[in-house]
Amino acid sequence: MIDVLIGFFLATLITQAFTTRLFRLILWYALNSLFLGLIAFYEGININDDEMKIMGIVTIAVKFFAIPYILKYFFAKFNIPRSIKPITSIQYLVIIIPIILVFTFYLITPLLNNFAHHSNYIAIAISSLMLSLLLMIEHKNIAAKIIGFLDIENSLFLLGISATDGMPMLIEIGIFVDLLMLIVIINILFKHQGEAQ
Amino acid sequence: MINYILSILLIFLISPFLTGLIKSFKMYMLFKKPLSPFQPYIDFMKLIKKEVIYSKEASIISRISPFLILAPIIVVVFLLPPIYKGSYYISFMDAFTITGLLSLSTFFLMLLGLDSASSFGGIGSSREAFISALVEPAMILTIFAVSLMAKSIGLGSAAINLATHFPTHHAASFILAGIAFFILLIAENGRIPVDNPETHLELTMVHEAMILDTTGANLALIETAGALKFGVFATLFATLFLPFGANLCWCLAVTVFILKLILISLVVGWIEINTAKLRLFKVPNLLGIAMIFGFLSLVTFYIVGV
Amino acid sequence: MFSFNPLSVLFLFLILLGVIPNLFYMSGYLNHIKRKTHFLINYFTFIISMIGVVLSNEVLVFLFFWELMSLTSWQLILTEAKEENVKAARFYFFMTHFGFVFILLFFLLLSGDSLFSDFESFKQTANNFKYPSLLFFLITIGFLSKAGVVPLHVWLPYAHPAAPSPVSALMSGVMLKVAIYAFLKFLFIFNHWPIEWGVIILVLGALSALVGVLYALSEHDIKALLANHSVENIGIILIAFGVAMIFMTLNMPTLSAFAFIAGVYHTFNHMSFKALLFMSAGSVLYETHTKNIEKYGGLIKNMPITAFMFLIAAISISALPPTNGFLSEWMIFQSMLSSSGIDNLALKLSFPFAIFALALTGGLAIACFVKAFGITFLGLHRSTNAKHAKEVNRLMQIGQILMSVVVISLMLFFPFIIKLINSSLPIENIYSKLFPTIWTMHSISNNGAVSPIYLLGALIIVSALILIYYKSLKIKERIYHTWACGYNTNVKSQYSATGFAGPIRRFFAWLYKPEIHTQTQTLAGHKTKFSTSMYEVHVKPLFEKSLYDGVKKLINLITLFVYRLSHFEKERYIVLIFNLIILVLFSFRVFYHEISWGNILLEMVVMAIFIKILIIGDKK
Repeated sequence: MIDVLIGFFLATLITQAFTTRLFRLILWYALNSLFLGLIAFYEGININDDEMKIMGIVTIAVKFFAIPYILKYFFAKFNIPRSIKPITSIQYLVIIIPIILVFTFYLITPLLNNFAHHSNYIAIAISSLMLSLLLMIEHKNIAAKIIGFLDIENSLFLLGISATDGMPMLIEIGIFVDLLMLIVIINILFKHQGEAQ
Repeated sequence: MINYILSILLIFLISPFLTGLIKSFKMYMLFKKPLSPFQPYIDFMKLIKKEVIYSKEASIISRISPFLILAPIIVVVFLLPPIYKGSYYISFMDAFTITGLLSLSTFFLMLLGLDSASSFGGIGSSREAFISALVEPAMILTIFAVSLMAKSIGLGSAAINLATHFPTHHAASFILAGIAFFILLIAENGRIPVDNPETHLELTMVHEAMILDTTGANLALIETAGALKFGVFATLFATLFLPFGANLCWCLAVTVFILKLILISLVVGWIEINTAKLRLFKVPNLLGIAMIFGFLSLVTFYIVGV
Repeated sequence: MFSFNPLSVLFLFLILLGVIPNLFYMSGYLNHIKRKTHFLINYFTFIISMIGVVLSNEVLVFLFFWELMSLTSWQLILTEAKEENVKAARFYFFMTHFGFVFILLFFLLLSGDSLFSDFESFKQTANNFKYPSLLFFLITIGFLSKAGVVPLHVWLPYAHPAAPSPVSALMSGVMLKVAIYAFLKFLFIFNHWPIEWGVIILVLGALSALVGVLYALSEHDIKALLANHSVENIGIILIAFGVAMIFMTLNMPTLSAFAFIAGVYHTFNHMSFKALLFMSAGSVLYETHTKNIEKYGGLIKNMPITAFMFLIAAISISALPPTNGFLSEWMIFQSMLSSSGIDNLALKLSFPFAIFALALTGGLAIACFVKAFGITFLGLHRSTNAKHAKEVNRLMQIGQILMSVVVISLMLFFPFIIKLINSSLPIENIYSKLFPTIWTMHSISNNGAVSPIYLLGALIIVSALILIYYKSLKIKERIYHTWACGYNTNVKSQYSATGFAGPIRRFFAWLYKPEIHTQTQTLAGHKTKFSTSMYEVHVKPLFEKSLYDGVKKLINLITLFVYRLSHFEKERYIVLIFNLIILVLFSFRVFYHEISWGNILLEMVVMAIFIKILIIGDKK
């Protein structure tokens, strides 16, 4: 089950890399977060960890509902251009994304000895980190960069789940608060930018 | 010891004859009235009595050069391999020394060319420097190959080894080295495809240009050096690359040796009447052939194995 | 702190041989120098620092003297503060510190925690070191860049001529040998040399020899010509060392010892004749005030002693018998000839190429010194300065004569020198095999033999006999014009250095790529009649053009890119972070595992793809 969910997680991330419309991007981000939350929840059931289950629910609540909604609201409010064409052309992306996927597996082979189980999850988590970075790289649009940043956060979360069987809840909650604060700051920045224009 | 001195004397005496022979053979083949092959001796006797004219720009180099051109070549004659088996030979000098001595002679010849401030001398020296720089690697490679086949770098023992135990399974590399050496013989002695010893035309002169300002007895010395150099190379070719006849009794061996020298001279003369002189910048092609043959000879030797 | 081990003492001997004649020469040269105190302080510190390098036995002491040697020689180049000298000094300063970085790295890797550890302790550390090739790479770049090995030689033909002549003689003659000493010393701390090391040194040597002599031929500046010859001779020395290392690896210690002796003997010889050449060239420069070889001519009549000294050194450096230069080159040829005993066919087949390179070098060196001697000392005076030149003062003459005594005694007493060298190096003792009798040197294999004393004796006797015969003829002498087709000989019709090297320059045009400037003032209406005409050839070294200018351009490009990145394109920051992460992961893997070339290659390809696509992007 977790394999399927992680597969969907990665798939949504890759789709983001090819998306050219802004709201579609937010949608994919929301789905990505949903799968992340499900992974956390399911893993919590598996290892019978209540904190993990709560984390999963909170993730879905914040990242699947709240953040996309806020983002969409702000983007609409500040007239961010809806078309976000990547500056790296598609044919290059087609080359780069498989390379990233394959090479993360290749690169962490020495690490795999230390993490006997979940080794594939770690590889996928690191590669999704790279993919999120790629998402930030390939767009000039500030909105896409924000989404990329949020994706990095998601990947880190996945890494946390798979590598360490969940971080302490306090830290996770802290990160959520940080995220919300970030959204607010971005809001202010946008506003500022809007006034400057 | 006595036969060593006799064979040295033989080479001294026969060398001018060989150059004279080439000249008269060429004239005969070109349907001219041939000169006597003993003309170089007559020239020598004539020149040695004449007065010497020094250029007023010339320095002490012009006065000492003729001696230093001739002396190394005379020393080389003493180091040559024996003509027949059992004869004494000098074993404490090897082939590298001989190339070095020949270069020493050329070095002073080139300085002589530059000494008189004439532009002809400069032309000659410059061209000679070019040619001899390219001759050097081919020469060393050929020596290398021959010394491997003869299992000795000392010329005397090399010649004897070749004459007594000819390495038949290395015949291919032997022939390649022989061809390379023959090209070097032509190039070092300024014979036709490289240099024309008979004209005094500035386009073609190399050796003659350097000694244009030399007169009288000095010229006699330098001409002797030239003849001896041909003698040295012919002897080397005869003993190293035509290694037969040395095992016979001494009178037969000497006859065979003289015949070999005459044969080499005739071949050189034959090549001279059949080819045109190469342009200076085509000369490297010819020497390149010698180098490549030297290389090939070594490579075949290594591949065939001992 | 200091140690007098055999190798150090051997090179101390070399330094003293080089320095003592130089002191006389320098005292004669001194009134030519304006800033005397500055010069003298640096000169003596330079000598002391070279001795210090050779004798030191601790890391810090060695580095101190090494750096002192570089700095004082740098100051000595600046003695005459001309525009070009300042430029040469800057280049020298940069290159010598470039090498110093590698030396420092080498010491840091080996010295452990103490900077006062002595070199004895290096042996163990070096042999336990996991990647000895790294250490070899460091000493090769560090010390051989000081010795002037291709492709790190470009500074040498600028720096050495810029110094005053006594210093040039010291730098070319002795300082390069100190670098060779250091290289040898640290080479011998390894117990085992992989075969690649020997091959690398052999290839570097062959390249240096050829490149050095080819650029020497095209040079018009007499001191730069000599400096290029230093590159050539260092190459020859390295050929010997490379051959020796190969033999040592293949377990042929006798042959290896022979080649090592040849190399060190050539080091001695090069010190002697190169110092003498620089002194004589310096004397010419002292009198004529120009380094341009085209402005000399006919100096043998004004300066016979200098000319004679130059001739001795020229014969020796051209490796003509029976001089010491010939002897060491003979030994190197003999040791290469012994390569036929190697089992590895590929290696055996590559030896003829080294022989070819060495032989061609020898041939070209002869051409080059005929040019240097002939154009400088023979013919007509090419300028008024040359016409008014006088013989140099007594002290400078004494310096030159002492040095020529060194040259000649290196030839005459060569059995003793070779015995000394053999006992100083940590190699097999082969002296008794080389010298069954003291008169003749035998090679290890192939029955090679040479005896310079017999050879010298024979040459002298033969010349004397011819001379006696010649005198007995009582030939009349007459002095008359040079025949020049009915015209008078004059300076302009005389052959120039450019013209002399013409055929060779043309043959190697693909290497030289000469810039040719012609300027002809034609008379009205005639194509072939002209009043003045000028032909000038300038050869800029290929290595300088391609390698150094290439590096310069690359650095400029990178700087421009970084500048643009930090000022204009904020988007690229993330790309850099991305690539950095990839790089960290890659290097993590490298350190985690043994290094495998396949992996590294693969990773480089991937990195290249990322950089190409993400950083460089499409061309607009």
